[in-house]
Amino acid sequence: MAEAYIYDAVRTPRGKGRQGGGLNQATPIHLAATVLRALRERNRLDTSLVDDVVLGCVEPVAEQGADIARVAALYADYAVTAPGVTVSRFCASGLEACNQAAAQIMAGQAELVVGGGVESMSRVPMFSSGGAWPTDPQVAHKTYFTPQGISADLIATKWGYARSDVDGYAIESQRRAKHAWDNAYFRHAIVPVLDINGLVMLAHDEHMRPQTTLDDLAALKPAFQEQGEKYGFDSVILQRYPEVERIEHVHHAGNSSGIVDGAAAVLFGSAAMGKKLGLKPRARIRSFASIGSEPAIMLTGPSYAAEKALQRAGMSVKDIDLFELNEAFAAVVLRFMQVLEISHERINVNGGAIAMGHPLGATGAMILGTLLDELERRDLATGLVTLCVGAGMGTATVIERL
Amino acid sequence: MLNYSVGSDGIASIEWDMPGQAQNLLNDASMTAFAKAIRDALADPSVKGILITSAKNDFIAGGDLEVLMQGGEAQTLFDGTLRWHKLLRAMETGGKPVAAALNGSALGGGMELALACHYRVAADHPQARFGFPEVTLGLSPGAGGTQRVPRLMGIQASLPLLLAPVFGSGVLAPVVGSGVLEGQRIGASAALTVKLIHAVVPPGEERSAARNWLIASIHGGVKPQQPWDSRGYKIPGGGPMTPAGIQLFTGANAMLREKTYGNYPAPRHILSCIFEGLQTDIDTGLKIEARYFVNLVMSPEARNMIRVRHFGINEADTPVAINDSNVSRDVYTKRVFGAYLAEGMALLAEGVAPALIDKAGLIAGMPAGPLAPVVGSGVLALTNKPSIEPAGKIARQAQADPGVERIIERLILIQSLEAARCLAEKVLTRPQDADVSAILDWGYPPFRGGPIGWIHTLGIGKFIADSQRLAAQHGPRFAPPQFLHDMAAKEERFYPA
Repeated sequence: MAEAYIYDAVRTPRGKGRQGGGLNQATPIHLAATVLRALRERNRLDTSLVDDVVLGCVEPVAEQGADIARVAALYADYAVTAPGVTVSRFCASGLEACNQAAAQIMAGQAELVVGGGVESMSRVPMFSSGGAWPTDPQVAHKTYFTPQGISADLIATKWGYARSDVDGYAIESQRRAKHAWDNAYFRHAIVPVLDINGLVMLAHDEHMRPQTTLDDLAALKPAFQEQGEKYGFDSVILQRYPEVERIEHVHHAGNSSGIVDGAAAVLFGSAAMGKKLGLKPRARIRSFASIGSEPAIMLTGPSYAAEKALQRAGMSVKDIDLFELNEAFAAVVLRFMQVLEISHERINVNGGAIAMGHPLGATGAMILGTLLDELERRDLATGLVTLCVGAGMGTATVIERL
Repeated sequence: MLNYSVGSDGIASIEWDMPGQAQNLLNDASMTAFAKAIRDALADPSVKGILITSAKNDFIAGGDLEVLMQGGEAQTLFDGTLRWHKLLRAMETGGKPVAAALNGSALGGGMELALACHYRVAADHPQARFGFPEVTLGLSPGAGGTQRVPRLMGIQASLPLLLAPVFGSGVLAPVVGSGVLEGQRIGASAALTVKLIHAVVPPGEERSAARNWLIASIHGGVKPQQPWDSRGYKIPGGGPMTPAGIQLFTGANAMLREKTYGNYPAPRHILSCIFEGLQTDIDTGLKIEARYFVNLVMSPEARNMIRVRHFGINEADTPVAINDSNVSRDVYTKRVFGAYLAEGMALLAEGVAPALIDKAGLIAGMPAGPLAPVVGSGVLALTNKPSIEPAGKIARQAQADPGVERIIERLILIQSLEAARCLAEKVLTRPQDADVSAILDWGYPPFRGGPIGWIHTLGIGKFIADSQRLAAQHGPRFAPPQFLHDMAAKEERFYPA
């Protein structure tokens, strides 16, 4: 099997995903094209050599519809010969796109592929694409469809994470993100989003609230209590998990991932292509894996995905220097650390989506780049990136520096 | 059956008048007669408009339960349903105005027939009721109700009518036992408000009002048309895949499970008829509706609910609702419901989590968990206990406790066994008394058809095998009484269907 190498990874800053957010004025095509251009310019890439552009996008409708990957590549002035494909694995779409990009190279069917993702949550809101899962009465019935905030609250309930536990985790995410920004740990990856005149729209993650205290968070109302109690979703998930007496609603905007806009792109290539282009490989893909698990609790997939990917690489948790697990909800990370016995010092060391936000289709590619940058900064070798995924899935990728 | 006449004004009058019945019902004979009358009226060039009326106190009370209990093959039921759809479609697209004079209640298939008319006028009787009680029998409207009602008033407004009480005014009322059986039937003025009918007039004036509308329509010269057949028709409030529709169905699905624990396919299938059908044209939507309707007619839930209702109606006609004395009925309740509570305590003694035992009772369809009395008395508190996954090993994928199905089986079978013993000991004498009493007296889930109805649903042979398996594991309280073995040996059944 051929090896797939990472040659570069870039991302936009994350803008608040609502009206008035820093990137609300930028179309999703503009965000995607921004990172694609950056890859080309930073690497003096002959884009006629690009075999494919694989982009994750969770709401591929409206401005993000109709295969945004291909249209973004055209708009970014890639050679017309560079095709594009849009993929969705819900919240892991960005990592899935990277895995599929790497897979083409590992299978010997491509030499140079861009993986990445884009999501303008301010312009194409969550749930825009509808779907049968929550709405089709037969499907919702069979799968015990529950909104993920309530699934996260179930995880906290089942594993016994109190409000103070999840809030404490959130404060630490904010602290780490601020520390990373203050020390310019993200400088290598960040590509400012510019307007048509070259003026800066956004150059910095704007969702962070480093001044937040535990007392501030304690004052917030649980975000999913009303949904759970008034619209019946607590009952639905308790019918699936009857051993649980009641759902403790502990998550809120302050300990869940932020709604933001952004895009990311990662350049994958074979060893031969790297040589031909004069590029230095930064890491190789050791393995990747996706899993499915029970869809109502939904968000316990990362541990299973991580175990599967590690098994494929012939590795164990102890062989991994640093982990990135998307901070969709604090309880997701707390459970992952507990189940796999990973100390907080080895995971999400520069904060995560609670502080900086989770631009759905882009996040997986963003945190893959974040992990690689941090491995280099600390001169460590191995990393694992994973995300919890809607409908009970999980996706993970193991990388190793060269 | 039907009185058919054509007046000098060119109006054909079709008057429902089923012989030997207090009410007009939809069955093979009456539907065949009506179909012929409609086809005659449409084909007769001297007929300019059609008036549908009733000679009884009410318009049409709905489908004939006797017919529904007969069931049949899926293909036969489906073809028959489509034939009726085709007739109603011919009526509403035939180019001649059709008006219904609703002199009294129009329910179920009767209301659906009226909905295929271009004009509906109702007499303002305080007792008159309009609506769709099908869901209370484990069925869906099968003659276009799920397609025409939401197309008429919008999806959101249609749900209380089609799904009450799940989404009715008593949305948050706990569904206790037969609560699921109560369909929403509204009065004339409410029917007018939700646009189910076009006008309300003083009793006795409904025929002339309908006739006047027909004459105006005939002289107006405009081809009569249903809203959904008109050019540029849009569903009021939007279709299922609009942002509002997505939100509505997402919430409705959850509320439905909250209320029914997923035990009642009828309201779910009604939602599906709307969800799937309203993304298509009316004719395709009617086919979708027919598929779900046939599925429900053949479902054990509907058979059980119709059987119980049938007994209930028949018993209501006789002054003594249950042959046996109230004392016997009391003893029966204490023994069978008591067995349910005792099984909950047995599970507790085995160390099963109280929350799980209690939820299993609710998921089984019971109105309260078996531990409710002890929890209510404060002896026992239901609490969350954090579960610990074994660290260091490959974590198993999350699964619901596989025990819940087994717990449900025990909680339900123990009631059937005790009910069977009561029959053997002549505490009660007839299986239908045991079933109706269970549903009325302690809220036994109607979809199971009562404790004896549940033995019938499983089949006596399977019930014996399941009970013997449980007896081997948990003791002789699960041993089936001898008469069940005898019945199985002789291939006897409690009920014909």
